[in-house]
This record gives sequence, C-alpha cells and structure tokens, in this order.
Amino acid sequence: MSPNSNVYQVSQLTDEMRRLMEVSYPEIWIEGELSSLSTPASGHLYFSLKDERSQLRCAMFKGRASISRYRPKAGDLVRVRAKISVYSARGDLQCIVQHIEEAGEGLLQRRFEELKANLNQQGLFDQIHKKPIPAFAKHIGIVTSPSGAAVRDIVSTLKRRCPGIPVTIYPAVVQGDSAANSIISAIRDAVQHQQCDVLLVSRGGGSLEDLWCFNHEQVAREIYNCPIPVVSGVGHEVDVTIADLVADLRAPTPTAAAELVSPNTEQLLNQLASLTFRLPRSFERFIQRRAQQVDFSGRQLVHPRQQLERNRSKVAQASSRLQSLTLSRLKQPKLAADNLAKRLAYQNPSKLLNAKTNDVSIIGQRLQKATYAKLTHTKRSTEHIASQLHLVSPLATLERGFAIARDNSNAIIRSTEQLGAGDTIDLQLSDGKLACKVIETIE
Amino acid sequence: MTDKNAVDLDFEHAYKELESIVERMERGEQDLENSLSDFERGVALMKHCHSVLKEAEQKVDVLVKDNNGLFNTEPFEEN
Repeated sequence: MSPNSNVYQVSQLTDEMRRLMEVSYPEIWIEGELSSLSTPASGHLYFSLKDERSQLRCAMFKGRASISRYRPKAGDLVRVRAKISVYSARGDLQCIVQHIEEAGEGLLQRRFEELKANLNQQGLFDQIHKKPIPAFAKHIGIVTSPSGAAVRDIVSTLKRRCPGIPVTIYPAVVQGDSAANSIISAIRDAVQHQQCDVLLVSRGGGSLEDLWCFNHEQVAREIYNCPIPVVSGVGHEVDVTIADLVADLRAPTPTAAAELVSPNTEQLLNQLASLTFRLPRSFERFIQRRAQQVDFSGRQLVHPRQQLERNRSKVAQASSRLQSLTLSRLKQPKLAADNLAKRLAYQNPSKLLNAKTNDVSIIGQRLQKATYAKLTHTKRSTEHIASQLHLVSPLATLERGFAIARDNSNAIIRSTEQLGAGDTIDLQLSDGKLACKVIETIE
Repeated sequence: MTDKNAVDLDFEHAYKELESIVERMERGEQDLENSLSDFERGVALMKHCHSVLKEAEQKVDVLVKDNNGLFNTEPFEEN
C-alpha cells in the first residue's frame, strides 16, 4: 500500500505540471506546419503545429490574434513565439501563442532566388537592354508613396542639386498586397503622361516582406518594358530587389537615385564659370585684333596734302623737261617754234593741275571721313562691351570661391609646367590677394 | 537686352549654344557686328544657365486622376 502522501489528485498534478512548464519555457520560438485550424466566433485562434513526427496544440487568444498581420492558413510553414503551458481542464499540453508569422525569410528568399534565376535566364537583366540615363534630365518622374520617407529624401536631394528641373510624383502604394498592382499602374501613368524623360521607382527601407512588391514578377516586367529609362532606389544599400536588377540603373538608396538622375550642378557651375571667363576675354581679344587692323589700315592711308605734293612735283618735273625740250627745238625753223609755242600755250599744265588738285582733295575728304567713322564705331562698340563685361566680371566668379593665380610677371597661370617648387605666385581672391609659394608640383 | 536674346531653352541647349559661341569667338572668324550680337547672346545664355542651376524654384507636382481617368497635377506638399 502506498502512503497517501504519494498520491496526486488529478488537478494537483496538472497544476504542478503547468507551473513547471511555464517556468521552464517562459517564451520560446517554435517553427512548424500549421494544421487543424479553427477560428471560432470568440475570436480566439486554435491550431496545431506539426512536423514529420510530432504535433503541438496551440491557442492564440483574441487580443493577440486580432493584431497579427499574418492571416493563418492550414499548410503554411509558420514560426510562433509562445509560452508552454498545460490546459488543466483536459490535461493537454498547449502553446499559448503571442505572435505568429510565416516562416518567411527562408521561403521568401527561396522564391526570390527562383524568380531571379528565371528572369535572368530570359535575359531581363542583360546589360544590352539597359537604356542610358539622360545627363540633363528635362523632367524627373518618381513612382513612390507621396507620404513615405523616400519621396522626402528624393525631393530634398533634387532641390539641392538641380532646382531647375521640374518633378512629377506618380503616387503608388509601396507596401502590402495592393503594392505590386499600384506600382505597375503608376509606371503606366508616367508613360502615358509623357512628361518625364527619366523615372525613379523608389521606396524607403523596410523588412524583406515590406520590400516584397519590388520582387514581384509583373513589376519587374513593367519596368523592363517601360520606354522611359528607370532608376531604382529601394530600401538600403544591402537590399537588392528584382526591380533593382531589371532597372536601367540601380541606386543603393532613394537619395542616391536622386543623385544619379540629377546633373552634377557643382561641376556644371565650374564649367559655366570657365565659359564666363572665356567669353569676355575672347571678345576683348577680338576687339584688340580689329583695332590693330584699323591702325594698320590707317598707316596705309596717305594724307591728301602729301599726295598733292607728289603730284605737284611730278608736274614740275614734266614742265621742266618740256621747257628744256622746247629750248632745244627752238633752233628749228621759226614756224615750228611758233607752232610749238601755240601748242605749248594750249597745253598749259595749270588747268590739269587745278582739276587734279580738286579730285585729290575730294578723295582725301572721303578717306578722312571714312576713317573717322570706322574709329568712332569701334570706340562705341568697345564702350558698349565694357558695360557688358561688367555683368560678367571675373570678380563675381571670385566671390563664389574661385581664385586667379598669377606668376611674378603678373601672367595668369594655366599649367603646372609654368612653375616649379619655390616659385612665388599671387592668388587673387574677391577681397584681396595672397602671396603664395609653390611647395610641390603634383602631376 | 533685345528680344532675340530672351532665353527660353532648357539647360542642355542653352549650355551647348553658349559653348559654341565662346568657341566661335575664340577662333575670331566673325565680323564685328556678328561678334557683338554673339557676345550679347552669350551673356544672356550665361545668366539663364546660372539661374537654372542656382536660382530656380523647384516645381514638384503630384499626378492625380479624375473620375474619367484624365490626368491632372497638383503641387506637391510635404506633410
């Protein structure tokens, strides 16, 4: 006969077992296949977890079940966080489930790899299909949620880098069951809208499940078929989605995507500054060359008085030759002499001289006028240019942080070859000059 | 500035035109008249490019579809 003290009452044992279980397994994770699902009107949830050899009864009470994102389905591989207990009324072991989710990571990862291999084989990721991203986008489209973190990052990045380029947001749901269809329809809207010449498809960071819509086959095909170049920026650096692989360009984050589609304003401003410097200089040089040409033409001009002198002396020579000739001929018969004398009187050079003098002075006046007009015109143009030059004065450039370096003969330094270590240079900044010394030439 | 110098170009075209004007002027093959108008045009283009890069106020819209599926845009407001 066993002593009474060794005999358990049923409820005594089940209570003891329950305490033992609850202390030994306060909260653990269990993975298994969901089966025998029952969802009574009470809102509680009852099911079994099983594997090849065993099964466990589980209960998830209403308060917990109602906040769960996962909708249980028999046959799903699930992972639960639970306390182990004993249901005293039946003496059954049971798991009190706090949280349930699809044993997703593994499953989703497998589906991801399958889709990736499949699309890769079909050539959707091939480099040859990648459209070039325009260097100067004229209009940037964004497919994303208008209330998410991504749109904020993108818009603020674009505002900083290229405020001149208009932006249109094509709103899409980027999380949950409707996300894939919503993204597809937003991409189609962007194509139909015919405004943007580059399209960002983007979403902020999240769990693998959150980003899952970007691993959707139809989304991938829509991006692949999109005639507008697509830049993807999904999640964080480490998240690579199918959308990233099929996009024409993948950016690691939404911000990076915005950077990739916006021209490098800093660099463009530098290039613009160089043109701003070259434009007035080239014009100045042009004017100098023209001024030299005018000088040269001026020297070619002969003053009318000088021309007159030359003509006078020619006439004088001719007349003296004529005189000596006449004298020698006078020895000939008087008739001839008379005749000659008459002809001579008729040929009086002063008439010719007067006419010629007149011509020359008219030409002289015209030349003078023309020269003066040309010089006045050049001078006026130069004054006008000087006022234009003020608009693009290099000083304005200097105020933006550029400096002009000059060597000790005050010439502008353009090449490292002009200088060696130890040479001194002047750096002209907007508010003054710095005397500097070259330490080293770096090729 | 005369009307012909009013610039209504996107940045890419304005910049390329400016670049070609500067190059043409540096070769110095033009006559005075053309050089002068080139120069004026160059100054206008330069100002335009600069304002596109630096001074413009970005226009951000959100696409909205009405009941007939027609497209409309509304200014985007961050909340």
